[in-house]
Amino acid sequence: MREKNFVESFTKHRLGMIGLAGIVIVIALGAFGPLIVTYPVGYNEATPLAAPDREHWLGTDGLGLGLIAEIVWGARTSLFISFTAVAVATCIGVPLGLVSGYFKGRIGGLIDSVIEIAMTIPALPLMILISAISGPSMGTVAVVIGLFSWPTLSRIVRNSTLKLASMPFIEAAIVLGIPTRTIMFKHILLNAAGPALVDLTIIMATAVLTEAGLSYLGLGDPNAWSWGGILQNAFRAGQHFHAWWLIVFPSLAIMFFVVSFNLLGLGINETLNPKRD
Amino acid sequence: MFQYIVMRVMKGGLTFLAAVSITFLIVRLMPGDPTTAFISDSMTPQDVQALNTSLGLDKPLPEQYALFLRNLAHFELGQSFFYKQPVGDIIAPRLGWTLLLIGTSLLITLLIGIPLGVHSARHKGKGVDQAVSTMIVLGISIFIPLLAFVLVYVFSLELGLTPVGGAFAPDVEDSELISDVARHMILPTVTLVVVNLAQIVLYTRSSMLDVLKEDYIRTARAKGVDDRGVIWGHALRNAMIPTVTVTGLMLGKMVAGAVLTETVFSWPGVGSMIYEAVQKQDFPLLQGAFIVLAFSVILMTLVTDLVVAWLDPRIKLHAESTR
Amino acid sequence: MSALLEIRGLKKYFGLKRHLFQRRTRFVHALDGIDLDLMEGETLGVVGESGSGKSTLGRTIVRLEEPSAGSIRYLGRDVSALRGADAQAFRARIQMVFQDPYASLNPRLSVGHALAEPMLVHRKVAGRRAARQAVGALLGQVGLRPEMASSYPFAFSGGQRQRIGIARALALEPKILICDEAVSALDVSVQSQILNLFNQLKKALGLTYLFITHDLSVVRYVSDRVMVMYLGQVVELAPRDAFFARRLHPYTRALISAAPLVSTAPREARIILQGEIPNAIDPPSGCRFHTRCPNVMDACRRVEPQLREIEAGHHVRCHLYAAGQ
Repeated sequence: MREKNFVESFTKHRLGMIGLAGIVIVIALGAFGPLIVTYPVGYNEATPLAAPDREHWLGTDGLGLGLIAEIVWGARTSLFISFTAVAVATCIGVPLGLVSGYFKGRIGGLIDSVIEIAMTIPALPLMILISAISGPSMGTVAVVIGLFSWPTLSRIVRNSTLKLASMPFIEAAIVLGIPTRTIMFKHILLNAAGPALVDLTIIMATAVLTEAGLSYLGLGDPNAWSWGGILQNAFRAGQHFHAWWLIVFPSLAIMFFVVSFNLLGLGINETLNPKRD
Repeated sequence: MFQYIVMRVMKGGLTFLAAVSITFLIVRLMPGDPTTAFISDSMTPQDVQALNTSLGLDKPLPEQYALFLRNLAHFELGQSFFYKQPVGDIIAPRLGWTLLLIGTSLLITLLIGIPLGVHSARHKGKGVDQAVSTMIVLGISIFIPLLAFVLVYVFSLELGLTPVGGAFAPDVEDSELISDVARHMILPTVTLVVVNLAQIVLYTRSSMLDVLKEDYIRTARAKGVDDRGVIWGHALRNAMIPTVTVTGLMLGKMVAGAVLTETVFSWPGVGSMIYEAVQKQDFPLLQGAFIVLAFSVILMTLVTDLVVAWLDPRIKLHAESTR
Repeated sequence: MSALLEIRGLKKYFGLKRHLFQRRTRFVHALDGIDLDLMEGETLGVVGESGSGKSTLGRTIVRLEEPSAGSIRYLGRDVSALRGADAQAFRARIQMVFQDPYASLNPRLSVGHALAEPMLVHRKVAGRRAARQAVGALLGQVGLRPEMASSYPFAFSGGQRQRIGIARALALEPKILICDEAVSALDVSVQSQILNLFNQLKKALGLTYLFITHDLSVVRYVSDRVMVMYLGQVVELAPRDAFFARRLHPYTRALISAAPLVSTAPREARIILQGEIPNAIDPPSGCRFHTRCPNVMDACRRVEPQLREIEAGHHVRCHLYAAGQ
């Protein structure tokens, strides 16, 4: 699979393009939305828990604040979380995967055991413990999610590296005296990037869901609007059964973003591994 | 085989040690005073003193660690801030409810997912491919609270078919307890099944497609074993291997799903307890919940690995040749 | 002519994974005591079946494998002792052309990048402009156009790719080129073009070749001397013409009779070897070839023959040519 052809055939993948468009929409919402919609703050006595109507398209919450504004500002949180988490996961997962795949012997086995252990430990309860102790903050949540997202990425990079390391073009690079670092981070990584890219989209999708889940459980940053946090506010105030819009709209925003990432991943995957018929 | 079991149990033990060591380090290496995680405002100076001694907070880190492990070996997980009771006593009855929920949903997921995967493998084609991959994308994109709320709206509030939450009605007769619990379990179970079904279908289907290409299946067909017999008799045992493996890997996700699901449905398991503990800043309870859940997941992963080894004789050989 | 590369007692054993109830690790004897002088400016053809150890010999020389025992000296210096900058300098002296032109080029690197990178790493050129010029010159040397530098490997045919592989090996101005089945993956018509290229380059650059192949017609075309390997050992080593005219070792005879077109001598009846090459984990006792040899004698099963110089420059490992015969 080559660069030019990849872009070309990806554009023909309908679902993948839909996913990409969805992500662009959320990014645009997060980048430009706050310029139009003011930050929801304080309370508006006139219209608490207003159902969606012509004035408040998506209704209002218990404080009378418009849900549109909260969702627009919440997009920023989801974007920040997903990109930070994927950056953290990449910084840990890619080098570990490369090293464990390239040095097959004792080091590789050791790292592989670490990956396996990290995959077995249930992440969410541990993330809850860490977020609860360290106190709610968006940065902490983002980093913590990233810290628990690298094992699958490592596995994928390791498996690609194991296959690539014995390829003649890697042996050629060794014979040419190319430094091991360059071989791993350039020659191998360039070829392992495809499958890793698919996992990155899944990591970002999962990060959005995890952040929403943590916020829903009350571990979100109280100083920032987030889609999961809107649910938590409604849930804690016991409004969730009569103000359905407080649950449905933020949840749909979450799922729109998550589905977009997953469709993008599907598109990349099917472009890289076309179905043989 | 015996050697493989020993190896695998040791690995499980090591994983658990890693899990508890992480909790130990998190609490002590967090910025700020580590004792705040254990000492709540409502404690008397005597309480604090007793806690310091039992955790060894006045001693150096390695000694604290040794003490921590020793307490763990005696099932001492500390004292809950809110309930003023040992953490173990609070978690124990709730763990049963969580395992009941996870176990039931896992069973139903497999009972639906495997036949569905086999069926879709037999009718492969572009349409089925598309349907399966769309199902996967939707499956892994579901935000559990939304699904749970929609189910409650529709089936409990609008149709009045199922209870809104909890595990049983407070005034239920003993004789009707089981059927009452079953009624309460329907919606939480459906939630977890829907979330996990797609992956089981995917893995069963793709491994079934691989297995059906293999020689011994062709041989069986050539020998006149009918299609149904080939699929269910010969192929499924081998196709099960990746399915069971992925089930093991999904356990952690199932626990995460259970935490959210229990919270929405007020299911009296460890998950809803975690929610309450978060609201009440009850750190010892959260730490205990993690340790107990980690132990359960590691144990269940161990079981699935042993099942895989039993299904797949090659693993046994592999384990021997790499030692 | 002096020896550029002196190989003495070279052994390479690969350890096998042990089974549960095995006391000792078993080894594949891929190279079992190779002695060889590679002369400056010559082309030494190395032939043998797969499993003979001929590829391992090449891979050990370029240090893709570490030798288990023995020494490799380049211009008198033991190369296995080299570290750091000296090891890098040695790498530049001996380069390799690989068999599969499709797998030996990184699909994600442009040709220009693949050729410039080693030159930049070894500081053969300074800066991107100089590198671009050097890449152009290299491509010209192997019969490609300099504009091709910006293309990726998928744009090229097998023969063109192999030319790129050769250009890459030449980038560091080596003295020795190890060609491991360098033409066997190519179409016959392309093979002769690449072989001609090898001959031209040898004249132009004064290269020394170790040409590893299973194809006797290729060996006949390019070699000055020919070496036959069997189960990790050298069984015959001779100047080309003497080799094809005399073919002393029964194994050599069998190989040549199986490829009759390569011999100018009167044709013999084809000798068909019995069975497969034995595995190199537990090589046969005595002469390793005795299990398949048409001329097997009693001594062959018990006593391992030594490599002996029968005539000037003609070495054979066989009891048929024992001293005095």
